[in-house]
Amino acid sequence: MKQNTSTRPLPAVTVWEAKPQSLFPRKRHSSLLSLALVGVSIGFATLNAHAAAATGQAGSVLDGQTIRILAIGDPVFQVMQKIHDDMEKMAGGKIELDVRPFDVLHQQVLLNAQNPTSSYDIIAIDLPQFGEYKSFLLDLNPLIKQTGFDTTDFHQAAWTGAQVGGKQLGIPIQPHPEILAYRKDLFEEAGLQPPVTTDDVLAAAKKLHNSKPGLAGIAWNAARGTPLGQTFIQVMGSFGQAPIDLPRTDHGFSIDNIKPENMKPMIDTPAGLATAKYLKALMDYSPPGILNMAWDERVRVFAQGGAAMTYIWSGRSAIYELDPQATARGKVGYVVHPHGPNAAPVSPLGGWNLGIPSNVDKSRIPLAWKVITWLTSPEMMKEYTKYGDCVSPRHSVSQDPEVVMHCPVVPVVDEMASKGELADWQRPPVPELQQIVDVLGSVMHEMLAGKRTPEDAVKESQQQIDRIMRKAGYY
Amino acid sequence: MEASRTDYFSLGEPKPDSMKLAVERRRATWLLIAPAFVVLLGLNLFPIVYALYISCHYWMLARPQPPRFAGLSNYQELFFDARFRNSVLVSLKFIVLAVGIEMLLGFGLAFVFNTRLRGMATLRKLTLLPSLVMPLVVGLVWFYMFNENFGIVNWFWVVLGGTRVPFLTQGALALLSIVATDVWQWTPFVMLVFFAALQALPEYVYEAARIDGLSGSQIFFRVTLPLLRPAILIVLIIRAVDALRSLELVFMMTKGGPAGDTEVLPWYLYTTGFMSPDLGYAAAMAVLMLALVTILSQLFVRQLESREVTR
Amino acid sequence: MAEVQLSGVRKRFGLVEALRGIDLAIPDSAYVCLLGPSGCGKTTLLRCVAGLETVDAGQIRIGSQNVEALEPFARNVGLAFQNYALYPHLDVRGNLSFPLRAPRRRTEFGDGEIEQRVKSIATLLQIDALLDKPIVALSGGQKQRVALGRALVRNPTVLLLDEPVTHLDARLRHEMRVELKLLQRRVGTTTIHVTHDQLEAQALGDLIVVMRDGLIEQVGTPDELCTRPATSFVASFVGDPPMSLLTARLGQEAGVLSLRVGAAQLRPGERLGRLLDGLCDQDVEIAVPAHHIALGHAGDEQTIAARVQAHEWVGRELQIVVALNGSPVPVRLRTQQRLALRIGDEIAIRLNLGSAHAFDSKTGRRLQSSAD
Repeated sequence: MKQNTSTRPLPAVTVWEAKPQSLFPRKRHSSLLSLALVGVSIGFATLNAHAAAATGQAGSVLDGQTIRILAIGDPVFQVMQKIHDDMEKMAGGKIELDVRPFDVLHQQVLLNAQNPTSSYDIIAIDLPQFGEYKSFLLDLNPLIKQTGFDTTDFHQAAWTGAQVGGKQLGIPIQPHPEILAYRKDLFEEAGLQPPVTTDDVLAAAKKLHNSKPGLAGIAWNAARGTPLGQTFIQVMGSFGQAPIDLPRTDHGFSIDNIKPENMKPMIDTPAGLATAKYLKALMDYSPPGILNMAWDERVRVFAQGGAAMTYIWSGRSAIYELDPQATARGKVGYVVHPHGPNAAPVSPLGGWNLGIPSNVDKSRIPLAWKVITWLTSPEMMKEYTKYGDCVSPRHSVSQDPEVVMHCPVVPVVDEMASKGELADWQRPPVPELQQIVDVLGSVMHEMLAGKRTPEDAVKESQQQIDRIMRKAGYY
Repeated sequence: MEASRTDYFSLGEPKPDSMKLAVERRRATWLLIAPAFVVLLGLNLFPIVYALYISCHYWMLARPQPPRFAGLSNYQELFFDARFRNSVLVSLKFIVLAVGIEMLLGFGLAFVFNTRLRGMATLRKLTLLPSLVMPLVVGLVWFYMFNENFGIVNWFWVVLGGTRVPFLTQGALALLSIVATDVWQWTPFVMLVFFAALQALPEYVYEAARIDGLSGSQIFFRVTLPLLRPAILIVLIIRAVDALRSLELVFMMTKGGPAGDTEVLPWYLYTTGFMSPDLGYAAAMAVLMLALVTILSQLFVRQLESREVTR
Repeated sequence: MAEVQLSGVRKRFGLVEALRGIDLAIPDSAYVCLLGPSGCGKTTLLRCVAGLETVDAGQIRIGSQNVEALEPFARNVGLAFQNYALYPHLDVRGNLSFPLRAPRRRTEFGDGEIEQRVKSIATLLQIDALLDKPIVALSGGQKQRVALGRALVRNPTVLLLDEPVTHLDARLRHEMRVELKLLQRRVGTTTIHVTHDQLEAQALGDLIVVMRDGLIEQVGTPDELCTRPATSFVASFVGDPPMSLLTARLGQEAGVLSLRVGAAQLRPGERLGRLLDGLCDQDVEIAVPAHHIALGHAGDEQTIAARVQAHEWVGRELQIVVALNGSPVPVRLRTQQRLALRIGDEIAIRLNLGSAHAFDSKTGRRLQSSAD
């Protein structure tokens, strides 16, 4: 495989590309043409996929063809944008990468699913979205069997998280947990231990907040809407409760077989109230502008030394670990999501998988699969870590010294995965998940802004979500 | 003067006995406008009717099930939806503030630019730049400018000795920040329309006013302002309707926060329709919003059409 | 009512000197027409009187008051603009009452008086039926009446009319002319009327001021302008059709004076001969009224060969415009003969120089004899 020389100047890439015209999916070329190509391409593609999987040779992946990927402005795809030209050379074809912000991607996937033929060959799916998207995605199991794709190297939770009802709907490319990052230097200086419980977090935040000019205790997602909504249910998971009434198991909850009676919201519960109070308490030790802070800003503030702790999706640690200018570089320790009283330490697993839309042109499937296997291959995974994606869902890559050097967080996450501390029931794969998140993201924002008490906020959220579930006809 | 009648399909006055010809002429008229009529109908009416249709259904984009008829329940639900009421209120606040300030500023600037000073033409072109930028980009830029941790506005403020201002996270201030951004983007447009209107004002009327004994301020209130009335109303319609529909700034800058203080109607509609994604409920909201836009614009249009004469 | 006196009035726009020293006395209650081609300064002069332009030098007196430093409003003049300049956002009543309701006069007129004045001026101008109509609904003639009414409604000391009937069609123009004259006789206001149409000036003016290049050429009654034009310019500008201007060279053969016009030799006659006395071998300008030019036969005495440039029927007469050999200025004549002329035809014209005017070819001033 061709190695990139890291001295080559990287092309400037924006956080996400604004391409208004592609909001309207492009029409495919003549379907007659694609029909004519079906026979040929299936034969070749299958052969090539075998070859690529067997030898790791990527030179012939695209064979002059074009692949269309709908993706998100998250680290792994931002890396792909950075090394886009090199990747096209490696793949021997054109890679059309449409990168969207979270909410726009979600909208685009739903709209694309209404088209008779998908405008994209491959789409990026967030782990909790599988429930919502399950009817729009192709079952990859037949392709896995057919091509002998090795599945055992992936983290167990990441691999099974992409399954719904026994179907494998995606291949993990950037699955990562949300964990807590803390400044080891500041903690040592203050004589603090790495936080284990939510009370530890509050105590440390209180002690470190304003201990230096411009230093806040903790940065986190309190922006209205999806950022806060997700934060709420993820933190509630650390208080030992899923957002809906899922069946309990030894280690947490089961999302394998969700029945209508499991859809009852569980916000107005002791765990829900504890979560609301915890978030409210964090407000006192948060950086300025916390009410508008989301994924990008919290990491930036932490990277610049503006906060002693931050919740962080582990892959994003590259933002400071790879940046020589960052104050936090090399000084950060990582722990699993701190837990509430009587709850187990567990970090929500999220992040991105690659899947194939079920309405894709049949003739495109072999090519799409071949590209997925290439993009998720160990070689490519290692490549991504060099350019700002500190994620490896593959055990084989996670212990690679070069990877560990770039991304200290990777072995930590690998260890969490081995200990079974990563879970995905905090954001259960149900179609109404985004609505739950939206209600919490708006009601809890009112609480944080001081317009509701925590008691009132959990009650109101409970009622609104209950109405949504009834309207959907679950009970 | 005789009112001139234009008859595009005849060269002379129709003769009383040429009824047949008149019928044929009318048929030709219809035939000629039919294609345009059909296209207009398709483009304008169909989406509205379809929105009405959807608004009477329970339709979740995320579920494979087809839409289910739900009667008026979406509207009924809207009626009790405090968040909807709040968003309408916020929208109205936003329109009044943003458009009000844009009108006043644009009006004043138009007068400044109307003076024949050196370099005014260049300056005029420069001021137009903001309105050429995509609103999404404007929102992103100002989101970072107003940001409390690394925004340039706060940086300057702190350098000058102030304390950090929560531009985007404190209720009234957040709305004002979005208003300020909208004003930044659209005042030049308002200014340009007023400038063009000012340029078109007949100079001789001002001379008549001087002979009739009006002072500068009296000329402004009794001649200029009444003469600019059509331009004022047109700008009001365009900007008010535009402001009512705009969601880009809120999307980029606050997502409706804090606590819904900047949640304008289009943003609530967008989150409901595409994030939740409850299409039926969103469509009901869209229908009500359409009604609101229609009422609002009709109010102004009626003002514009009434050739009210003041003495 | 007042007389208007201008002395040494000068006005310059950048490099252009629009008024180059105007001295003019307008008697009380007179109807004075400022006549001249466009660019002669007549409108500028009017605007100086109105106060819309400030003068660079000189004095303007209205009645006993020096007004050149006063604001337009304080001069108490009424001005009807060429393009009416009505307030488009007001109706007829609003336009007529506007000058009376101007805030600076607020105390001057009560509501009742305003209403009464508007009524009477509207009746005078026969627009009382239009009082409630918006301006945009009026025809040109109606707009002109409203503009006049607005100028008159506050009893101005001087009424200023800037090409008031220019925009009207021919028939209306004639009607308005008559009405203007009658109106002025009734109200008796000193009136200054700017026009480029000499027929209009002759029909209306008690006095006509002919202007050219920022200077006054002649001030006189319509009759004086025709019978005793002060300059060759006035001669060529006034009259319908205006006089024809010929450049001739005066010669003397054996004690007999002769005028050479192109190839033709004309005898000046006794009266003209006296005027031209002593100008031998010099160029002179001769102005001949149209009705002193007739068709002739080639070779006859006092005839000149000419080529037809244009011809048109004016009433029952045929007006012929001809070009003389060796003279750039066209000559106009009228005949009652019914002729089938074509452009380019060679004809001969006969000049009756008995009542011709002669002008110094350098100064353009009229040559006069003591008996004249």
